[in-house]
Amino acid sequence: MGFDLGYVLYVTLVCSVIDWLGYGMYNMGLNQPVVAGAIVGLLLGDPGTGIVIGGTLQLVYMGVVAVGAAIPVNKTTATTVSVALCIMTEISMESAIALAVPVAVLGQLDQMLAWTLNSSLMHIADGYAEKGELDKMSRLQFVGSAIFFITKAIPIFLCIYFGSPFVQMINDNMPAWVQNWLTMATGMLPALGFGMLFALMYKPKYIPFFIIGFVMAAVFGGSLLAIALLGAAFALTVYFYVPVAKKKKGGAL
Amino acid sequence: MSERNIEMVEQTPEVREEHKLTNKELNSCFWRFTLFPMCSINYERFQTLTYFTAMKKVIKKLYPNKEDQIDAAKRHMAFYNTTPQWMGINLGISCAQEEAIANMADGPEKDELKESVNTMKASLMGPLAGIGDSIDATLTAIFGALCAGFAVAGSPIGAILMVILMNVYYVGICYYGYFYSYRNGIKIIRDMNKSNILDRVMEAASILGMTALGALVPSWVGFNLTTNIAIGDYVLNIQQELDNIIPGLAPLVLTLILALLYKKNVSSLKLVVVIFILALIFALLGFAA
Repeated sequence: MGFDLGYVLYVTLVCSVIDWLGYGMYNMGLNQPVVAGAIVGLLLGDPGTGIVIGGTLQLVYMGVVAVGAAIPVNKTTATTVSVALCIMTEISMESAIALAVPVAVLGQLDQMLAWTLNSSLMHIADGYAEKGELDKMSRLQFVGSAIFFITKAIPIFLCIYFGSPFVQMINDNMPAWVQNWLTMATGMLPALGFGMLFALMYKPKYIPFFIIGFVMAAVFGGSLLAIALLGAAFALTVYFYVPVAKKKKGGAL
Repeated sequence: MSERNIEMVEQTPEVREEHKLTNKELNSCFWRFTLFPMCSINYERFQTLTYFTAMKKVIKKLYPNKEDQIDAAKRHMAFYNTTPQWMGINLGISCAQEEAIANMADGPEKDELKESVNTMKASLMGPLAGIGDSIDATLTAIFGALCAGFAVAGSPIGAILMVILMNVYYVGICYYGYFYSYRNGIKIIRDMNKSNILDRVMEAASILGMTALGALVPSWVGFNLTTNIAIGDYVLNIQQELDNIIPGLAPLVLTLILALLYKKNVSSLKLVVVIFILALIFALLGFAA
């Protein structure tokens, strides 16, 4: 049950362009899972699936952030490929979300490859600088951008070309307990994003706000937007009414 | 950063005379770093080539002489790395510095100012990345949480709202950071320090984030322990018992445990494995999600 090569190439192009935007160009926010999922879904003819998977993965990877020089797992690759595979093979959304986990690591690896390949550009640029060829130096930017596209497109193509029949085969023979397991796991996965974010923002003085948010949603069933507005009200109150201690003069910036 | 450096840059507005950057060069610099902040990033010198590319038209305009151009190009090929959208704050200062250099007569003072360009970059990129990365992470998380709420319910509003919010943030920090720092030089950092504006904004953002996070946990963590345990005639429904204590208790405990593990430096990938193992155990025990 192969897929038409032309179709696979189209899917690859859609996924790689969105993924490439994250580094190859100004990303316009399109590399965020909630947006990437919706766009891939729209272009492959099933926006509903894309939106829901994108939204879920946005929650799962909420705490995954790039800090300093470290490359985190790639949430964009995870979203585009799992949405594409979900739509192509009609597996359940839970399976698609479970699939995102290894794909995110793949996205991290291809990014490391691109960063390594791009290092060679620096020596070429140094050479041009000696000769004063400034225009040639800045043109190397586009070579870097192209490297990002190629290192994205090839693994994504392989994933989709070989991955889709494989995923479909597994899905067709999936025992009920595995499906139950995946449903359980994908339900729990957003807790990871929340947990990481909680660890990131945690300060004892913020605990009251966390509790208020929790009780409003769990007990009183408030909508997220309403509770966020409540949070905004707290934030503004603190901003305007609580005086901030002046920093000591001098010191490092 | 030494006081001397700060003083030198603060003097720059007065000496702008003969060589003046026009809007054309300034805009070129703006667009080049805004549109292609990361595309040549690499393990050796990170965003260096982007920094140079942004400065290219500025260099060409200020130094008609080829030797000077080469000199300036090499200056901006020194190691640089910071939060992508926050690069503009540093670029604005570099533009102002280069303008001052171009207008100075040759001499030891000029050489000193040339050196201070890279000193400034080196001493600014760390603090900028520190502030930038944490604001970036917090805002993305808060926006993401809000928008994912819509998306999980199947609404396209989430995706549209996310694009709008991210772009307001990106374009805002790129545009105002860059032009403000070009006009005011290093004063921007001093202003920020004096008013504590960033600390206060971060605090407000964290409060909003924490409130939203509290709401997200019971709403979107699908962790139910729905099962009936029959002991003789007595039937125990675990989820119902938990709900009697407080709804959303299981997701809350799970989230807090993961947060604690993450704080203890367990990597996120390992935590994913932990979740899958836990899920397997619960699934085999007969709990339904």
